[in-house]
Amino acid sequence: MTPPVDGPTLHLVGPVVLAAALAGIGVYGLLARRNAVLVLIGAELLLNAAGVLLVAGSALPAGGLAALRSTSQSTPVESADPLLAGQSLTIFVITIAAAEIGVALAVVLLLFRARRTSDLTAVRELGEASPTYTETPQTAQTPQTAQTPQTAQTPQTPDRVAP
Amino acid sequence: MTDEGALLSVVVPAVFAAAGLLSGRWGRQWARDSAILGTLGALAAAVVELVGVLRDGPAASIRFLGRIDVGGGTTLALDLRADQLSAIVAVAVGVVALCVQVYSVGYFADLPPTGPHIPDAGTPEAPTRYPGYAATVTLFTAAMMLVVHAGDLTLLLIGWETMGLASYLLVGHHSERAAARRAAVKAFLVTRVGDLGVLLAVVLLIAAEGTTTIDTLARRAAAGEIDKTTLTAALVLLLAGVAGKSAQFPLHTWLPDAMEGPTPISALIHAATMVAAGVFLVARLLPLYLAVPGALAVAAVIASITMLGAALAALAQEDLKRLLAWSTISQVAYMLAGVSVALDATGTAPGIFHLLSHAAFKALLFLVAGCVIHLTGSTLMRDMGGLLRQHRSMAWLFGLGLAGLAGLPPVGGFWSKEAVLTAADDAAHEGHWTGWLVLLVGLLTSLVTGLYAGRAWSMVALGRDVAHDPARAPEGDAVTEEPHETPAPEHVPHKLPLSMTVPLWVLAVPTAALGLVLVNPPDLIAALHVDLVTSVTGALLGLAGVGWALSAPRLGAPDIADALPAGARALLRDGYRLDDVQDRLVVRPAMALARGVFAGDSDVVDAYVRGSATVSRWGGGVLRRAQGGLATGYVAWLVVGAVAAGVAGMVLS
Repeated sequence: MTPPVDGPTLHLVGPVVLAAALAGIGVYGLLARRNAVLVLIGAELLLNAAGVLLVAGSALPAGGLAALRSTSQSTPVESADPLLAGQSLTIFVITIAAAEIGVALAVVLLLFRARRTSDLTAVRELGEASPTYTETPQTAQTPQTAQTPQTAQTPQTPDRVAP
Repeated sequence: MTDEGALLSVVVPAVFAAAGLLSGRWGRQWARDSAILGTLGALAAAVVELVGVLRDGPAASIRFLGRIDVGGGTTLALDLRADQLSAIVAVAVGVVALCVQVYSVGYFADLPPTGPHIPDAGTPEAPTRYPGYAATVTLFTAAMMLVVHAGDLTLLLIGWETMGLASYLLVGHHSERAAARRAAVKAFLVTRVGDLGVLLAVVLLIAAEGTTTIDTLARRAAAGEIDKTTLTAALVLLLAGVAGKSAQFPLHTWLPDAMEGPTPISALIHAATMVAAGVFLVARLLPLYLAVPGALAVAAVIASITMLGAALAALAQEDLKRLLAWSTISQVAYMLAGVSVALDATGTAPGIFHLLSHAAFKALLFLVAGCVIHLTGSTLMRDMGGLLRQHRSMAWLFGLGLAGLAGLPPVGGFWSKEAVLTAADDAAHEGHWTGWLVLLVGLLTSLVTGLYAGRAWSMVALGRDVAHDPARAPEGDAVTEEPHETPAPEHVPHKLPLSMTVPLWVLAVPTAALGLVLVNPPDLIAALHVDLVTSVTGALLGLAGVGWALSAPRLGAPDIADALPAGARALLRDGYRLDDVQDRLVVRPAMALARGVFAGDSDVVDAYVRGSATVSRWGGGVLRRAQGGLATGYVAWLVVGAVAAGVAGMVLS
């Protein structure tokens, strides 16, 4: 059915395992890290896992995995997609990731300038269920006072109580 | 000429009423002018109509609102008609309405701050609201004119209901007072019960006969083409409406309470418009009533009960206006009785003649009562007294009105009342038991009427000079500073304005001299005759009552009602406590039902609405716990969602 491939070939297992590893590390970074930069890196790893899968998927024959499964396990097959949609999409992902990391790093930078920290657990004021949530944010701790994260977490700060 | 007169007598007050209601903010001057012009125009048109009718004969059908196709092949002709009945009653309505409008100008004038307290005078807390009042009076007049001229029962119903609305607005005019609001609602609801009867009768006639044109119905009824049962049912239903509007037993309870309205309104309602409408309706439909005698017997029984009962209640009243209200109920019962003993189509004469004389003397009485209330600042008769010494002319006018009420010769009230009794006498000699009933009860009522009329005279006109009695007047009052030695009209607290006294003299003329009409009567009352024996009996009984009441002060009691046992007097004063019965039978069940409906609405229907709000709030409270503020937490939800989507994709594919 599909003609044999002339050039070098690659087994599908390699890129899939790589993508799985990248995704796993990325999810770990997203969920377990407290530092904003490291969380960001986790997100980037997830994106790259997706990119690897896209490139690998674009090399699949017509009919995708099902078609591949029907042929012999060891017989290499030609990619059926002349436009290489998976690879083009990966270029888009890389571009968007570059823009995204620029914005995200700018946010992290501003956060650090304001709070002297990039610890995500220290900046929870916007969450309604968070212990530092206040209904009237203008009376709460403001960034201009440059407080330490520990005092920013407590709703009652000494300088507001003092006359 | 007849047509234009009839048409204009309805249209002119209606237009001026609409203009007055829409332009109430243009000021008092304009309101006064438009109100007086509206009623004056109505009166002029009615006079033109009367001249036309007397010269050219009646006009059976005058195009007014055109024809309405109500479906089922039935077309209602909303036309007016003009005959002697409508023209004469319209003139009476116009005269009384014009007098009331002119009187109201003075009655609602802004009074100087000194002088006694006037119940109806304007204050910053309770303004007179004269423009709306005047326009509503004009509307009232227009509605009555429509009832009088309607040639079709459906058209009549329109005027009938408009009158109910106007009476509600005017009785509750001083809406700052809870009593006035209650009286207005009561008047509206009680008359509404009767109005339902009229509405059902109209529907019944449309369903059975396909027409509500009075002429057609009368022709068919005379020819016996209408099913007797249907006709009797419709006429008895109409009697319910008559009892409501004309304040006859058992729907009379609203009228004494309606005294909460301004006094000129009492004059208007009692003399010419509202209560007269019921009697007018029976007179207008007399050809139908004659076709089935049962309905007239019902009317005669109602009238007899009301006549005597209301007269006895009037005897025990302490409030002058309530006394006059009960006397109205009694006198309207005379009218209804006069029509109900009719033997043929000319039998409307005694009832309508009494309606006219009653319109004159009752309007006069109420307007004089308004003046007296103006002067003394109280509506209670024991606060009055000595009117004859202070205001001789006013007292004589009051006496003239009372003479008409008691039926003393030779004033108009004598001729009309004796005409009713004579008609009853004739019916009795024709072998009708209703004639005997009306005759006997009417004669007895003559005596009681004389009694309470004499009592009113002795308490208001004679009696102590309360206003100049230092023992009765409060300390520091301006009244006590008057020199007691020369009690003369110049020294009363304030002179009555001319606009309040002129209508009295205008109304005094027909009160005194209406009997002269009988010298050369129009066709409507040509059949009227006054039997010598009956009239002498009635007049003697009336005179005996007056004399009895007047002799009471000489015998030591200033008030003839003191002779009654205390319990009976209280019972009569409260109108036989029918209000309590009504309260127990109607008001409380209705209120209980209303509370039940309210509870059902708030506890069942609204519960679903409130329940959705509760569920939403509870759901929000749960969901806000996910809003922890930790960015990582949000990402965790994202990952969970992605995994779930992936698992779902794998399971489903």
